[in-house]
Amino acid sequence: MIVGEQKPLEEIKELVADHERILVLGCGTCVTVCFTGGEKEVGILASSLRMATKIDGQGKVFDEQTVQRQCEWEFLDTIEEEIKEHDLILSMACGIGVQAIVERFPRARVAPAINTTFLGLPEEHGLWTERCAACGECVLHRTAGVCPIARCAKSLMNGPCGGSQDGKCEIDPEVQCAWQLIYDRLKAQGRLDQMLEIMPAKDWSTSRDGGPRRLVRQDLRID
Amino acid sequence: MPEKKSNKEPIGAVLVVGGGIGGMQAALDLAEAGIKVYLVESKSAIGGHMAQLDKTFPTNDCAMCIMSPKMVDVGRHTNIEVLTNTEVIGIEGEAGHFTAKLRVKPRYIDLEKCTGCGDCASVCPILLPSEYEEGLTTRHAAHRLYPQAIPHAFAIEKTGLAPCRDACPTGQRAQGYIALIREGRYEEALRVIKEDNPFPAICGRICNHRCEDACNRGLIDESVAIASLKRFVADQVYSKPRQAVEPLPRTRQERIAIVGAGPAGLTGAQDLVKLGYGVTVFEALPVAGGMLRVGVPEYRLPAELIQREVDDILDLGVELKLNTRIDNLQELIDEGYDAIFLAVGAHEGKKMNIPGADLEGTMISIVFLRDVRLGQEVELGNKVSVVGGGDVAVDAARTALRVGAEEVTIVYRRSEAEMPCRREELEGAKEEGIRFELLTNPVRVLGEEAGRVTGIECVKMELGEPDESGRRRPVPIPGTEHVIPTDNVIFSIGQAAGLSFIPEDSQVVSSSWGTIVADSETLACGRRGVFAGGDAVAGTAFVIEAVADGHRAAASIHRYLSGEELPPLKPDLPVVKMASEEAEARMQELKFSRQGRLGMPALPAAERRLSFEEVELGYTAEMAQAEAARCLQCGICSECLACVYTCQAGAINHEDVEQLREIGVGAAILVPGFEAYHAELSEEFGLGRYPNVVTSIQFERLLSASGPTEGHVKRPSDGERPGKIAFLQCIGSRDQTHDYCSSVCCMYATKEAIMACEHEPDTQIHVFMVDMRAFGKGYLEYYRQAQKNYGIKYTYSRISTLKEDPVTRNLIARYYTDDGRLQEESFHLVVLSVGMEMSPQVRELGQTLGIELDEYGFCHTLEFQPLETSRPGIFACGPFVEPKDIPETVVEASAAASRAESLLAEVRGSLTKGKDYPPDRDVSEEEPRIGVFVCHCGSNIGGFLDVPGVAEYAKTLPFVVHSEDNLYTCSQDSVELIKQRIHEHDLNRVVVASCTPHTHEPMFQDTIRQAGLNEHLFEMANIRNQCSWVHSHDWDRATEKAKELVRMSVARAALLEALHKVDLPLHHSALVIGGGVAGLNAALSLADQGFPVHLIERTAKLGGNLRHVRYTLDDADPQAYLRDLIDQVESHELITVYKETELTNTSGFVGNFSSRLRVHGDERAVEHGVVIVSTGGQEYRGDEYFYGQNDKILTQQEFEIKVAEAPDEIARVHDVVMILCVGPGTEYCSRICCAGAMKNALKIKQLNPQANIHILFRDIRTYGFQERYYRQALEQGVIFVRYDDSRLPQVTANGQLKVRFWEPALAEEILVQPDLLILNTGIVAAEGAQELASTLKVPCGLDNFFLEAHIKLRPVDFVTEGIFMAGSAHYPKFLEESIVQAQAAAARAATILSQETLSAGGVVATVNAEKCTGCITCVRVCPYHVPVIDPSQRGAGGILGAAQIEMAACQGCGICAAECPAKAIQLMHYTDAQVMAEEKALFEKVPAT
Amino acid sequence: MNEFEPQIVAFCCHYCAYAAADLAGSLRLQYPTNLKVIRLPCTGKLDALHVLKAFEEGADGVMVAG
Repeated sequence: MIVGEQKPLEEIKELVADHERILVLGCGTCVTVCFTGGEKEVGILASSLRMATKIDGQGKVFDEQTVQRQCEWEFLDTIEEEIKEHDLILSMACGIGVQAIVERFPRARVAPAINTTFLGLPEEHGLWTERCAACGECVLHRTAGVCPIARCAKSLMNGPCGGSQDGKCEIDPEVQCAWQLIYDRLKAQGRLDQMLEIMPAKDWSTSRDGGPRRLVRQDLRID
Repeated sequence: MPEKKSNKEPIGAVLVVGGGIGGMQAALDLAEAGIKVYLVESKSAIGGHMAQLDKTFPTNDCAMCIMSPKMVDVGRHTNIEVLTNTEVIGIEGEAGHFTAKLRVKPRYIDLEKCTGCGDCASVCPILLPSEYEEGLTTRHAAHRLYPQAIPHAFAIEKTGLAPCRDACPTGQRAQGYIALIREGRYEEALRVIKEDNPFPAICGRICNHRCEDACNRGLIDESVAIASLKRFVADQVYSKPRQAVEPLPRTRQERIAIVGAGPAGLTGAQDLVKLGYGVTVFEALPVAGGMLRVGVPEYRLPAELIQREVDDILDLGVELKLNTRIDNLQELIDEGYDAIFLAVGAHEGKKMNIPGADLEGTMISIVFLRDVRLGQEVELGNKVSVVGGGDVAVDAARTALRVGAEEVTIVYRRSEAEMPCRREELEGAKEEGIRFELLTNPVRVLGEEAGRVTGIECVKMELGEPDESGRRRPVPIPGTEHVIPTDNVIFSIGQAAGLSFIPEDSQVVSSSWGTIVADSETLACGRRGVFAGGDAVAGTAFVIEAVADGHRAAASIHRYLSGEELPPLKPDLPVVKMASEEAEARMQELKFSRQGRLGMPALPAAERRLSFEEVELGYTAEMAQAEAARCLQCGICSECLACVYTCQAGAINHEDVEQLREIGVGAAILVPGFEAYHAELSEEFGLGRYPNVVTSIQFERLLSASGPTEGHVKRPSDGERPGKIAFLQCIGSRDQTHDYCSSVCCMYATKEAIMACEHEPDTQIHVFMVDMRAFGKGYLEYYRQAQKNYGIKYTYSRISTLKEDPVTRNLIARYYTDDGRLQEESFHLVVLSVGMEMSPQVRELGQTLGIELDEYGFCHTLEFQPLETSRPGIFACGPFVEPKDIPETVVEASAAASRAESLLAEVRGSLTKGKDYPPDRDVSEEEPRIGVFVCHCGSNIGGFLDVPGVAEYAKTLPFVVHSEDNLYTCSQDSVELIKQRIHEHDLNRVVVASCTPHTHEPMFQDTIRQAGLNEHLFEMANIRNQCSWVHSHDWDRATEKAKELVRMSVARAALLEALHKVDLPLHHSALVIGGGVAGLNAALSLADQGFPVHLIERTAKLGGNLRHVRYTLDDADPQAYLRDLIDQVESHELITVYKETELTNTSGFVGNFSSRLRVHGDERAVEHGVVIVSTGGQEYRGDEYFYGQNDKILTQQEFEIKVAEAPDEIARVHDVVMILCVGPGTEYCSRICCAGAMKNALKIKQLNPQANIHILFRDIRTYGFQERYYRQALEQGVIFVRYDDSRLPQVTANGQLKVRFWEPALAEEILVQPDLLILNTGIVAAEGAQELASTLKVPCGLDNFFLEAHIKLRPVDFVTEGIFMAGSAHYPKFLEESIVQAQAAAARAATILSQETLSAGGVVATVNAEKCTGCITCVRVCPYHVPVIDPSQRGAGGILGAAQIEMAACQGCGICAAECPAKAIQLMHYTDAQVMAEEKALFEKVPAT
Repeated sequence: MNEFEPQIVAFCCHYCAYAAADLAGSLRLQYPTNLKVIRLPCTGKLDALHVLKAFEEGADGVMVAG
């Protein structure tokens, strides 16, 4: 899922500084599940902002709304009136949500209340770690299901670097060395020989290096 | 074993004796399983000892917090009848058909009417040591044992009639007014006197006060000066101007004539007017008061006082006709009076029948006194003789002095001792110089010629045999005639009534004594409607008797006019007559010292001779209060009636009497609990003498936030914080008079020590003990924490005596240190860890019921049937069987319930009932229409805030259509009113602003259900416990807060929704996992109760560890027991046994589980309603001490098998060493190994008495009665040597087996070369416990023993509903403990299986699937593992997989709702909207009213 | 006149803290009127939103006891 993190309240206060009627808009999908921008977080942020701005002596209005997915215009259409009634939409969705609003409602002023951080999974309740870099060319079948792009600090493609110590990455002892994990899994599966196959240099054009990406599925297009 | 079935159907009810935690658990289990329960408790409330505890070990939970919900459940359970103040006086019949005889002692407060407001206690003047607070503080006679007590009603402690009241003809509540005087409550004191006697000021002066003669205080020093106190009260109140009394309304047609305005006539008049009759009093004299007014001299009884008390009666509406002599009774009858009371007194005196009695100068005393009193001229000479020895004679003598006589002589024929006058009169007379000629009798009055008296000729008398009055009869001594010169002779030898007005034919008969004949009970005369009393009937008597006659006559007249002929039966109340030892004991209890009565100041004799000024001056307030404080409070309750006047619910009934009751029951469970050892008996520790020595239970109260010091530990002598505290263990356990261990003291002392350190972290605590008996789950860890985290010091030493430093009041203890030095240490406070005993009452109970007890009063139970008494159908549990802690008691209570259920299975549900309610009205479409009821709670709320104002304010709140205030909203009439208002105003929500929902919400919910509203449409505002009581000094703010609380409740009420429970089907069968002794017993118990059981066993054989147990300490045959048990299980038609079977999967929830079994490799599915986990444990086998490397090193179990199979070999063994606490024993105590070691050591000694046995131990933990085997082992010469981690025993296993160990007593190392080394390796959890835990989704602890829902109160339940545990799977256990826990698990399971359907819903979490993103948060956070993501449900966006919460399993905690990021879950009845509405309402500005 | 008087909302578990508040009443322990209790079935039910809402509505302090 897309994992996000709420911006510091001070920063959000600045974002809303020049506005009076603000709609705090949540999204019911990824950010709900990662406790960043679901209905509950919308309530908490809106309440916090009401109090924070009140303390500062400002009489701002913060209304609350959560849509099923901010990244779909159709869901945004259901709250068109509300979007128009507010002079700022404080989006608690990922970056896609923010942009979807902007594109659908060109006059709307939108600000992000969260930082979209990564694509990850909840390892434990309250702990998310990155799993996918959306590089556009998946090699997980060759790496025992462990992604060296997302999980190796250097995105190395052919084994660990010299900084791998006791299975941990040199950048942070909390971070596991992706290549150690790959090695362990391959060994457990009796496929260590696979490590000997050299992976060619990665073609980063499918990733961000090739500029903004787009995907067309002719079979799905309706026109 | 199945009990013998009789032909008759058994009775589906059980008597549970004892309302402590065990009794409550048994009652709840039984009632839940369809058995009617009578729960009998001898105190006025249930709760037992646990209610006194501050915290519980080892979790440090608040005892009351965990127990209180259980207590409330018992209190309101439809099928549990709680009988407090009740004793069992007999059980007749046999199992299945008993008749229990109960004695229900009076509570004096009606349980139905009492609202628990406590007004009675607040006015009660009697203070007693509080038993709940262990005497550290006081409570009132009107009391509740403790604030949370169930029943919530108050009770009055009364031991019977105080002797002072008993002795008084009118039953004056002397103890009552004395108590009120002590508190300075004089108006109230006068009020209670006037209840029985309209003449307090009069009787306070001239009464002959038999009360004082009866007073128990007289046994110690002197009786309380009751009459003087009465006079004091009257004087105090009368010192203020008299307020006219309001006349009473006439409610009866009948008119009554009373002849005579003396004390009898006026008392009768008062009573009759109060009853509503018309009353006319006829009086011949010009003044009212009768003999009081004209017979008693002014200096004793001022006329002004008489007038005041007479006026108080007349003002009530009595018509008085003065100067109206009735000359003929017939005329009065003819006037048409409906009843007549003759109270004419005895105003006709007589002279002696001797020559000269009519000479000039002779007089009759009452005429003389009357003349003086009415101001007539009386001429006396210088010398006056008065003949007689009564009060009147003395009055005449002293009056004679005052009217001018110079020398007054009293001539009396007996000695002073026989004089009937009051002693104080006599003393007064002596002081005033009156002469006495005693044992002297006039024979002739001498006179001069003109006829004037000159003297009396008298003869000396001596005392002969006693006459009919009991006094010795005077006999003249011949030849002793002599003359007393005198100018006047006043005869005072008795009076008679003047009865000439009674016609011969009136049927009113007079006696030869000149008195009217009247029935002694009813005072009725021969003629119907005519009654007579006072001196006219009795001859000359005392005022108080006249008053009594007045009351009696009025009551008889009332009955006569109401058509009731018979005198009512008076309850025969016991009189509290004390022996002097008892009186001394009471002094001790009340902390009094000896002190005689306070004398009353009087006028100096010289002054008083000259005047009619009152002689006695009366007490000052200080004197009166001091004198009142001497009262011993014989009856406990003083019957001052303050509670009666205060209680607005009319709940007090001082006439309440003991009731006998018989009830039919099928079985009885005895769980009477223990009594703490009376440590005063161990005088060497000074409890009771040294203020800073307290018992552990007292210390428990000192720690408690609700205790006398609000949880601040203070030492009793000076209230200072004790910086250094000692605990002395085994006080009343393991000593010369107790051969058992009380099992709980080591741990509770550790807990109390920890809590004391928690309160004041720098407290130093030193525990002196014999062994540390930390044998339960988590105990060893707790003990270690006490040492490590709190620095509590433990020393193995038994202190033999304590000394007190008289200056500091510190206590000095001498002890041997661990290294053998003698040391002296001083402590600020010493706590005695008292053990358990059986009270005399419990011993008596055993005797009454004919069940066998041991010499200590503990109950004998049967081998392998640990709860069966010697009488079939009567079960015992708790400390009554053996000293034990709460969890074991709770387990046994459930097990006893199970035994009773087996007996009564066929009549389950025959005597229980549910409640019928009308169908709920559907209000979902209606606008809220809220009714608000604001309670005064007597004065508990109304006295501290403006209740009507709050009710008025509530009317202004949104949706409120009705609001009112009630005196007691919970009283029966108010409850009916609420129902009526619901209909009248079409209410669909009800708010009650009163006390706490803890006690009252269920009752009000029940009320609105009866009126057709769903119970969840009710809301309570707690304006008493959380407002009026805690803000009692600020009326305005308390009122303001009450309004806010009501506003919050109304806002919430508007959003309340009806919640309906649904009935779900269930499987009425059980899955029992594990075929050891626990599993077998659980299966059998359930099957005997009629529930099918699937019993699975992993191995090919049933029996588990019991198969290795070959003998017991009591020489019973465990294998025979096991064979019989297996036979019963295998042949039971309801039990299916699956051997070599594993559980592979379980799904579902309580009532509806489905499991897959792998039976010999085949998969099978079973459906069942409950699960019992009884997978057992196993002996640990590790390599410690070279185990496995030498065949002379055995475990206890191996050794036992060897004994059984090769006893000859063991008989040849010479040296044996046992090492205890090997292996897991260092981590946790396996509980059973110490006793195992004793068993095997004694066995060796039995086989070879010469064998040398060394037992190396850390602590010997033979708790309870196992201590006896430890003692036996010691007596038989087994050598016990303590070791610790610093010096572990050293074993050499190759070659000759050698064991070296340190012997601390000798301070040297010992080497033994044993033939056998036996290791007590302890018990570990069965293999596979963890896997099973994950299959069932239940928790295991660190040591892989299964984790119960609550260590104290839910010891056989898992947190997950419907899953239970038994036996060593829970923790290592003895055979009996496993059997009991298995039966307990069966009882707990039966509470579910016996339901026809499962009731689910209500306050549960519900998922709005449309919002659910399936994020799994709820699944992760639920402590009960209830939510699942149901892959077939569609969630937000229609995606498959949404949370589902099974309402039957949901516990309603709401954690999932709080955590759900999508706000897809709401906890019903506590929805976000409802909670936030409360918050919003709180801060809303109050609308203008 | 101008002395600050904080308004405090206490969220209490029905089974323990709420019962303790009742007991304080039974023992007549006096405390200021500024504290109002809201009863919850378990303090686990306490949502962060409830706390914020209390502050937003005007509470100066929130106490959670259970």
